[in-house]
Amino acid sequence: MRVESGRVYRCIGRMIRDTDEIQNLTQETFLQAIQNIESFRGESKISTWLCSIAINLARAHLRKSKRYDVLEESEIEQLLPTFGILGQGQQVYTDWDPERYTERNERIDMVHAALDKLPADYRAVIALRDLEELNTEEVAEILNISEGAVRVRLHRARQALRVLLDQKLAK
Amino acid sequence: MLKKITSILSRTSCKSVSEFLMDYIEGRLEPKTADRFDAHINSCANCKRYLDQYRETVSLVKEIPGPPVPAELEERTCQFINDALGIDLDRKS
Repeated sequence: MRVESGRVYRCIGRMIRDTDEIQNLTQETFLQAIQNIESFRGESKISTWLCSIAINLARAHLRKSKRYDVLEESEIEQLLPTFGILGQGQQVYTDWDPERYTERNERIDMVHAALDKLPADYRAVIALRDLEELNTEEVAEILNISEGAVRVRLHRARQALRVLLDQKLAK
Repeated sequence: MLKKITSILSRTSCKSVSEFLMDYIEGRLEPKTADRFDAHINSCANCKRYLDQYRETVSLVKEIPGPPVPAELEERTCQFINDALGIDLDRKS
């Protein structure tokens, strides 16, 4: 239980920053797991199954929480690059100023602020793939979507994050 | 004229670069396609900048440390379950 509770806590903590909430959702994850143990068929690892419950609880928490000023799906669309009829890019990108993020703590705060703006589904894929460094197959299983959908969502999430960081870092 | 149009359409565009950027970075493209991507990126300063910033975004995200797990987590979780279900869950199980 020690290993699994730590893993579940870390998984939720990649999505939510309030330590009391992380603790509450970790406890709720184990309670749900025990109450629904008959639905675990052993086809996946127990850690994957627990992580799946944890991420679902974290996503639900984020959706109802008023603490985060989260972008709508349509606003995410607007952050993605656009192209002309021959596929030429329509945005002009400017260099980032490395002077603006020399301090590690400031840098981490800046990235946290950008992540906080992502919708829960996008945050989940970044949390599992880029932060917990799970492979695409595991992430697909946890989120109950196809591997292709994981890759599309991850790419869009990173593209949206790039724009949010650009607002802070562009020269 | 038709040759010119075909040539323009067969080039790797900024749109293809953007769509397949993740595959490109992860080395999942066919060698010929990857070569065409390289050629486009080397000749398009805008796509080159976008690629660099995309990579930087991923590396900035990966820098975020995981939350420190509280020492009393396991005990509190067991207690919570015991209280909720009226059982005596063995911490070591």
